[in-house]
This record gives sequence, C-alpha cells and structure tokens, in this order.
Amino acid sequence: MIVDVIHPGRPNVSHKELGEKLAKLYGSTEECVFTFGFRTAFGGGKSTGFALIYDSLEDAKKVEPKYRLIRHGIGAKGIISSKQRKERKNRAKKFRGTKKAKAATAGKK
Amino acid sequence: MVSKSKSSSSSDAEKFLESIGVSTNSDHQDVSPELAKAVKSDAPLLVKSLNSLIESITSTKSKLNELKERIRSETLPTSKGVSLLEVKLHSLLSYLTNLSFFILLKLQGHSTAAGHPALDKLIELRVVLEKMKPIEAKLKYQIDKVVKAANEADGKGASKGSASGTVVGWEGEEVERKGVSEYELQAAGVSDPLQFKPNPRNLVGAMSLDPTAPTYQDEPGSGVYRPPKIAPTKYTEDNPKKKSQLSQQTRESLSKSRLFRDMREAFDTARPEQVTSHGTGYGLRELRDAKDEELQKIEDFELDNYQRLGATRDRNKREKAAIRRSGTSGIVDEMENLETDFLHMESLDRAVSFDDKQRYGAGLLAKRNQRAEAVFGEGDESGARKRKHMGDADEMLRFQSKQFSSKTGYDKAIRKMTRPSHKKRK
Repeated sequence: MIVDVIHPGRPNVSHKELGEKLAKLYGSTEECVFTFGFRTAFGGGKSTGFALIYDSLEDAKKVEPKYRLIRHGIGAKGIISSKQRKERKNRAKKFRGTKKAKAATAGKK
Repeated sequence: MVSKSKSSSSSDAEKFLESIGVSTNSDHQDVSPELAKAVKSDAPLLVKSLNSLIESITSTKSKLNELKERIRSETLPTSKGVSLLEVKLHSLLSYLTNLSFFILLKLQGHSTAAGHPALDKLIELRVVLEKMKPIEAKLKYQIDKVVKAANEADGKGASKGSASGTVVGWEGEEVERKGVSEYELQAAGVSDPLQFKPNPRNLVGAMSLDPTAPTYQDEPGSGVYRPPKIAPTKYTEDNPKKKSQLSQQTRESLSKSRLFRDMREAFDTARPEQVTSHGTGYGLRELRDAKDEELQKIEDFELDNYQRLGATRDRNKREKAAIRRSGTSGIVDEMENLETDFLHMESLDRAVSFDDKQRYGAGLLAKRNQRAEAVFGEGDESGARKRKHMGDADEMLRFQSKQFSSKTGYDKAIRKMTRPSHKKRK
C-alpha cells in the first residue's frame, strides 16, 4: 500500500513508529509490517512511502529482500567491509567447487 | 401586316391572331378552352418577338447587300485568309440553314425525331463549332495583331492614296501586292507583321515621335565610360575575431547568465518584466515543461511499482546540460551567488580598464584619444603598437589574472571563478 504520513513540525517518522501505527490500524503485529521508500515532500510536513503487511513472519522471510529483513533485524548480515570481502574472494580463488566455501571460512579463522 | 407599334395590348394580339386565322373564341368547335387560353396568354409575347425579328432582318439585309456589292466589285479579297475562320463561317452558315429548316418542320407540324438528318447535321455542326472555340482562343492574339496591322496599313494607305480595305493575308506577300510595303508598316510602328512576340522596337517608335523630348542618356555618342565620382572610403574586411569583440557563443552564454539578467531587469526599463506563473498554481492550466513532465512520469512509475528510482548517470548529465543551457540552476539562493557576481564584475572591470589603458594611454591623453575615436571612428588597426589578440572574454580575463597575479587569496579566488570549468586543465 501507499502510505501518506502527515507530520507537521517534526522530521519524518521512523520505520518502527510507522510499523506500530499500521499494525494497530490493520490488526497485525509490528514484525509483519515492512515499510520502505519514504520521501518527504518539499517544505516538510508530509512524506509518502510504501508499506507491506504479511500474514506471518515466515511468509515475510520467504518473500522480502534481504536488506529489508536486515533493517527489521531478522536477516543476517554478511561481511560488510569491502577489504574483508576481497580477501575472502581471493582465498576462494585457489579452489574449485564446494572446497571454495571450506577454504574461505578456514582462511578467515 | 403587323403594326410596328410597341404596345403589346391584347386587342392588337387578337387582331393579329385573327388575321392569321387563329380563333381565340372558346365556343369554336375545333378549339378547346385550355388551348384557347394558352394561345391568348402567349399572343402578346409572340407579337413582340415577331416585331424584333422583322427589325433585325431589315438591318442585316442592308448590310449583306453592301458586302455583296463589295465582293462583286472585287475590292474585298476572300481567298488566302485564316483557314480556321473560313471553316467557322461555312459551318455557321450551314448551321443557320439547318436550323431554319428545323423550325419550318416544327411549324408545319412534322415530327422531328432524333434520327432526322437535319437534326444530325445540326449536332455535327455544333460539335465542330465547340471544338473550334479553344483553337480560336489560342490564335486570338495573332489574329488581332494581323487585323491591327491591316487597319494601320489601311490608315496609312488611305493617307497616301493607295488602295484601302486590304485584308492582310497569312503570307507576307499579300501585303506588298496591295501596295502597303513593309517600310510603311514599320513607319506605322508595327516593325514586322509576322513578328508577333513582344517587340521593344514598337516602344522606340512611340518615343521617336517626339524628338524634342528629354532623354536620360547624356552624351550618347561619347563612348568613354566615366565612373561616378564618390568620396573614397576605406575597405574593411569583416573580421569577427577582433581584440575586444566576443564570439557569438560567448555573447549568448553571457546574456543568459543571472548577472546580466538582473542588470537588464534593473536598467532596461523599456522592456517589461517577464515572470512566468510556472509552479504558482494559478492560471487556467498548470504550466508544465519537460522537466515537470519527466518528474511526473517518475512519480507515477514509483507509485505504481512500489519502488523508488534513484538518479542515473544519464539523467544527471541531462540535468546538468539543461542547467548550463538555461543559465540558472533552478531555485537559486541570491545571497550565495552575490559574491560570485561581484567577483565576476570586478574581474571584468579590471580587464576592460587594462584594455582601455593599452589602447588609449593614461590620464589626459586617454581622454583625448577616446574623444578622437568617437568622432573619427576607428582608424588603422595594424598600427605600430603590437598588441596581443584575444580570442574572447574568457581569454582576456585569464590574461588579466595572470598579469596581476598575486598570491593573495582574493586573486586566487578570481582566477578560480574565471577559469572555464568545462575545459581540461593543462
């Protein structure tokens, strides 16, 4: 759904607060409400964005993209720093197939 | 038999009808009442038309007799004329004969069915006449010329006592035979009767009629060409890349800049101020330009597909190009740009003063030179003074900043401002 939030006099509303409000409105729990894409209009006071409400958390985990799950706190983040990622890749270059995964984690340790 | 009076009273008509044996009384046995009525109503018309017919017949008869006499006395040659016209004459005569026969048939009550030979002949002749019309139209000019030549020759001939009433034949020899020579025709102003294209000599003939008239050609017999005496002027090659002239591109880009627009607004009082209602929400229809349309499209897409679009490289490029073209970066903060504007003005002012100093000198001498130039205009430019020729204002400014290059922050800032950003730094 498209959500229009009117918040005069204050900066835009946080995802968490929005999730709570929406859950109350639609009879769901905050963990099933996913909000994204909020843009505040010029001059402030109004922002527009999207929200998705799922039937259950399992359904959400199956459908939602990883970054939104991470925002929600459910998803697991991989390695963020680029240096570490590159090192991991270089370690895995030496091997082929399933041995790559073993080598990557082994090297790190 | 019929009275020549113009009154078409019914009594006259009745008298006439009775005389020719038609009864208008309805109680006669042979005549039905409707027929009698019709005859009575048409009678005055009949009388009128018959009167006019008789008049025209008498006049034509007299003319024809005259022509007959002329032909008989052989003063009117009828051979070697325009063949088309001969055909026309004969066909018209034939037409008339057939037409009169046709009327006779009708009067006597015989049937004039479609297959009647007289009718066929009439149709044939009609077709011929119709076909002749466009050909005649094409020949009209030439025929008129010939007739005119003949008339002129006629007139001249009459004055000189030669035979009158000549018809100029299609060949030129006919003219000579009848005593009108080409010389006479030329004198009459028609240089050659066979030359039917536009003839300027005809105009000359008109002019030579009055030899005392003033001509517009002085000394026609001198033969030497004397050019007109005009004061000598300097030849100036059109050189757009002069030292202080800006190229067209620079001029355009400068005119679009905010600084110049503000100055124009302040000083050009004749020009009314233009403010667009774009974005104000007023007006019959909300003004929208390409940018607005694009934004709206993006907005619609985002809401439909539940995803936000980020800025792409080519969109950014287009935006920057549009800003450069328009000269403004959309909504501008005036205070922010004030400083840059002043810096621009400062550098320009310095550039101009430096240039003036080089050109005119300093102090009193400068004033004198300026006034001299204003009065006499720009003189010889390839003078002894060697001066650098600048490409355009940008170059000049850069030159200035180099000239006065100090290490102060102010000058550095100026150099930074006046350096063109799109050019690569060498």
